[in-house]
Amino acid sequence: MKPLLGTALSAALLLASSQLALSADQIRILAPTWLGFAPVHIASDLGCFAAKGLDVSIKFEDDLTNVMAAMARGDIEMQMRSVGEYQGRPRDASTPGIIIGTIDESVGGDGVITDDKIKSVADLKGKVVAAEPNIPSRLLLQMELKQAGLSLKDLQIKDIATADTGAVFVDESIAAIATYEPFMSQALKASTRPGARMLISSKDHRGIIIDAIIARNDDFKANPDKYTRFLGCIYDAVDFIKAEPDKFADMASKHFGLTPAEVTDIVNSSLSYTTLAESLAYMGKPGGKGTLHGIFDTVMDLNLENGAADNKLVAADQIDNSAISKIPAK
Amino acid sequence: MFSSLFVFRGRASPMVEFAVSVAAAVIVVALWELAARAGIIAPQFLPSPSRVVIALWTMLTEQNLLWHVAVSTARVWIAFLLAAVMAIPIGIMMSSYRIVGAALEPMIDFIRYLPVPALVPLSIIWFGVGEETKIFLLWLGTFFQLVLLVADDMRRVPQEFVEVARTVGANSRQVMIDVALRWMGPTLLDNLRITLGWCWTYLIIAEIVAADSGIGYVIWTARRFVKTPEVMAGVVVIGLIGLVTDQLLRLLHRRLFRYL
Repeated sequence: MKPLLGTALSAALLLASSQLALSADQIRILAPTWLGFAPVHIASDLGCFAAKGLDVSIKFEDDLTNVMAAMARGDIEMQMRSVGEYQGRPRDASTPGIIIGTIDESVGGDGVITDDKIKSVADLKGKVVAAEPNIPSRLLLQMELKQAGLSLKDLQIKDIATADTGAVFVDESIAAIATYEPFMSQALKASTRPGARMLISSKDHRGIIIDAIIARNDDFKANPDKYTRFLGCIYDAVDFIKAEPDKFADMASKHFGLTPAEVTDIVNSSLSYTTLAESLAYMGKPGGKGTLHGIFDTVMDLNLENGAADNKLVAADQIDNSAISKIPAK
Repeated sequence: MFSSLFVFRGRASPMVEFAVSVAAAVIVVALWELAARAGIIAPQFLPSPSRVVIALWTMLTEQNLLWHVAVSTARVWIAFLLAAVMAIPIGIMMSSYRIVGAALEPMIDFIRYLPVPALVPLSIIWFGVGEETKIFLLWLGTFFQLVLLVADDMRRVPQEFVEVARTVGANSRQVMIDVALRWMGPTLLDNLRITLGWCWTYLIIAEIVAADSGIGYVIWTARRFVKTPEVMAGVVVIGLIGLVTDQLLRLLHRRLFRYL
């Protein structure tokens, strides 16, 4: 009995120590079900994480509240999400999470759709507009309204789930819908409304809707090198995606239940993966600021104005460029 | 042969009933196919059954659907058995001892009205993003309904039966096993069958929490990319699993309670 107990204890200790060893380089990620985060899958498939001693796993989770709960509990080391959504309630300065890189930007993936009754954003005044709270296209709408001397308060906003875009667009009492791909294209394709079209597109607002890589502060502080290795793999994967689009489509399709043609179609019409050089420009040099800091402030003001956020966050405290700046140049 | 079908509480042969069931299903599917092909509803909203079947085949052959089905089935059964193992004794105790009923029933009544989706962030805080949360959410949707049904089953055991058993010298254990459980057995199995169906309806909520496997995850991912035929195929799979499980439990019911 005693040798058996001893063996069991040794095995348990061995397992525990191997788990501890693993946990140091473990990165568990939650990200929305979106192809913008496909570089993680590609880096994994290419064997980059394993080669750099990282144990990376990614799961899909669309609900921001659930992701925040998981990060607060220490169940994940990383999340990925647009900067605007990241700032959303109930985040305040003490909520876990710090932006350490960018992964993609929206170039047509977000927008507002309408029909021929609406010629310009100004025509939306007093009209019913449907949108999910705290989504990027709501910010785009807000920006364009501002330029037209209006605000969201001048519209009658109806909260919807973006997945219902197509069904909601059938209702002609809804003048416009702030939405995103692929629901946006599908709603336009299925619509019989005369002049159904995009009124606003993220293609015309490049550099505003950016998906960020967000680490858990305590783990980032304790293991900065782990995150430098991770980011290195992500930008290697982005280079691969740009160099081998067909191979990428084939590889990504398996992770998202899509065909390679669907992957290519969605990526080409919606988003652009950020390379290391682009990401460095967004993040800035160590101790300095990049373009993302300004974008962060712009989006923050919009979020505070529309009620998606209720705490003003300081860009310099929420963005850390130390890990990305240590990626060795090629 | 079919005339008895139209007689109030008339009886028909099992073969006739089976034929009517199949014919009704075929008519509904045919009408659906016709409506889809006629373009009455856009295919993004309602794809034709034939497109759903093609999607189902692709998911089976290329997307490991059977593996996802196995994962979901395991989750549902673990949560359901956990709920049953807890609900049956607690429900029986609630009806058998006034103090237990008085203590638990108001709380259970309150909790069973709580919307499960609203409790997802809390369940992540309590159990993390692993299997525990998924099982917990499925259990949550099942246990509180089942425990009250069991309590009702127990409450319906006629008092005369208990008194007669006591008169002939039965102790509490014998009253419970030989009288109460035998009386409530058929309705208990029926209620288990019904709540197992409810457990499946919570699958999507459970499997979109930090998801990477299960039919709920497959449906949710397909929904995200507006792949409606795949969404419908996933829903059909859940329906088929429910149908088969239900029939198996009905068969078990007939075998166990031949005296009915």
